[in-house]
Amino acid sequence: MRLNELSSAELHRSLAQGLGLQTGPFRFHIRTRIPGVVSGLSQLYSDFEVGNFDFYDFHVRIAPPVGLRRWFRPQVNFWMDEFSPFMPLPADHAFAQLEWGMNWCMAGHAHHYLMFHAAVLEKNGQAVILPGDPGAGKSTLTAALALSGWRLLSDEITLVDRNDGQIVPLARPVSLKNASIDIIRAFAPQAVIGEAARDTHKGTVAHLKPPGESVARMSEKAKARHIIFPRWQAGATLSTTPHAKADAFIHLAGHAFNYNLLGALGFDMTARLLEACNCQSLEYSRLEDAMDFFSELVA
Amino acid sequence: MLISFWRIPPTATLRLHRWPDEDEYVVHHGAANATHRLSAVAGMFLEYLASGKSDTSGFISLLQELGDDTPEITMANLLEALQRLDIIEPIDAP
Repeated sequence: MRLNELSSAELHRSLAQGLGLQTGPFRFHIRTRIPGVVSGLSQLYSDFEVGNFDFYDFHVRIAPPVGLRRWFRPQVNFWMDEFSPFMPLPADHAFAQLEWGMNWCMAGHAHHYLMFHAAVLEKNGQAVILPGDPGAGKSTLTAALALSGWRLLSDEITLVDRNDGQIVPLARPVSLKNASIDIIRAFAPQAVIGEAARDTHKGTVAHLKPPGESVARMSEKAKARHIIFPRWQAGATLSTTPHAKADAFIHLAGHAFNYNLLGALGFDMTARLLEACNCQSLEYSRLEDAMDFFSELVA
Repeated sequence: MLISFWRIPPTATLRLHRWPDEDEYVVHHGAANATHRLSAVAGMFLEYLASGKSDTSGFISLLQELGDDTPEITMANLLEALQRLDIIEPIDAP
């Protein structure tokens, strides 16, 4: 059953007791009564599979902390298996906190995959990995590509299958920050963007609903063919330069969630991934130019 | 420069990788669980040692053949850097 098949009352009731949600290979059991989380899930996860599953990878809960902060300047907290890894946040950051908490669950525990901190999208059977330092414009580019017919595999965590080296989809809402929220609204007025959480530690954050097709094809792995290091630079004419694979290796490993933990296996998997990919650095200022570049890349 | 003899420490369990058409290498030091990016020359020296050779003189000759005008200096720098990473260790003359 998809989440949008539940009525609002059913969704509230299910989430109060705990609702199973499938995202990529993971099943979350989510429990909350926070209206902002319920509406965020309703708006941004409407195409996702939900239900009562036999097995869950993660049991999570978003709820007010005990004590006065339940009422005075209300806060919320995130729990996984009754362990709370974060400080409480203002109640209007609740949906963002759920997203960060879900990322924390996967990045910290799913070591049966190699996990890079990178976005990844696919078109014409070719997955393109987008690593990027903060501020490089990775999420903006990811959102624009996802809204231009590319299949979103992941915005934050690139999952690599240990057995065949393919990319495992994990399509979830794309986290947009600060100026990129309005850039994406202007780029695609039809885009569904959730309620903005202001004054978070990342500034203003809002999430873009992933395309329905990306969610529907969540069990379809993809072969990585390109690694593009994007860099948004005001006023820059689009340009690309070859990126040395040894440097790409060190960057990917340095920004991985569990490269060191996997030891020699992580080394072998990363080396194999780079064998199959061409690596380039991309500098751009206009999203439309970047879209043309990516279309030509996989033509 | 005196001829010296070196080997990859047996406990290091190195993995060395280079991609076609690229010069640089990456190496994984299993015992330290550390990954390093290496120059073409450093990678070639590790391949030289991995092939069973251990003397610096043979590698210095190779550097000369490749057009290095100061092969002894290159060799000394290489030995210092790789030893610091525990990727090589000195041995007695075989």
